[in-house]
Amino acid sequence: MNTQQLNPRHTGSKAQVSPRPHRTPGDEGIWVLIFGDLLLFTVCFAVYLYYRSRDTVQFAVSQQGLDLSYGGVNTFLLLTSSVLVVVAVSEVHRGSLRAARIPLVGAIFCGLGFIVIKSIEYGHKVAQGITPKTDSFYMYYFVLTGIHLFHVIIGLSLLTGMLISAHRKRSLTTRQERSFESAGIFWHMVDLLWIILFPLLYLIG
Amino acid sequence: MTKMHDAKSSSYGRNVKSAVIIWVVMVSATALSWAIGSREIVGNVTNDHEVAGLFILLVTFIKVALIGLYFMDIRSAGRGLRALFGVYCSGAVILLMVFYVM
Repeated sequence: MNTQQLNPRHTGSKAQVSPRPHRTPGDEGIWVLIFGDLLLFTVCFAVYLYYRSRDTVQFAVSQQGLDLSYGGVNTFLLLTSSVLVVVAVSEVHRGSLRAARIPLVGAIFCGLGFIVIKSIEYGHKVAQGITPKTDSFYMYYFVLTGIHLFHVIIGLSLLTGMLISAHRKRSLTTRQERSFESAGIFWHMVDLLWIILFPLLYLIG
Repeated sequence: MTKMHDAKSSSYGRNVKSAVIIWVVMVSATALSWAIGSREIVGNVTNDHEVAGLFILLVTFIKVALIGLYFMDIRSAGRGLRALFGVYCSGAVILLMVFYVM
């Protein structure tokens, strides 16, 4: 049966197997974390837009100092890593831990690439004398991308844990499989948050 | 048993195929937002920059919904989780659009 369950609407004397059984992906606890994090970030995004609306010209001028290429390449890297994690989790569900290793390594490299590019971008800004103290826009830029970068590092640790599991174990219990899936869901949230951050900070003028 | 395993493998194979298609859609949507956003920044504040910004926000939250449904696999979850995610996406995009045009 694994993680799948029957649709409760179809239980009873005329029990039938639902054509599309529902299941909660990952552990239920991960969704509390995901929605809590999403809400916190959304409040931060709204606060950023509120202060931006009070000083649109200054924010637009500072925004022009950002290099779109860094943000664009990082978006590509995180989207690609997310697809690789989907492939890895699918392989685990199929019971093929060995086949999950390569996509996981690819996802980890994409995540590391994100960190490298973000570090280069920060380095350029600091070399130009731009810091969080420069103005309100850069304060939000460094704080929001910094908190997101912290999530990337946590996500990479989880992906590394997934890779170690896939390397050391021959098979996973249902509980381990759910934990594996939960780690993947966390990584997708990291991707999702960047998908919002990129247009907010780099694109919308 | 073999049939069950085959059905499960086939289902996850479809998930991977869907995820790859979604990836192509999202990369294309990002390129579109990038093109609109960079033109707006370079051209600076035009009369319709707010429309462009709202369009970019809308595309962004379509991508967010796709990540949730296809990558996080919320589409296979029960009604509660799907509804909660739907409420988050619609609530967040409306909130950010309102703060953007304020």
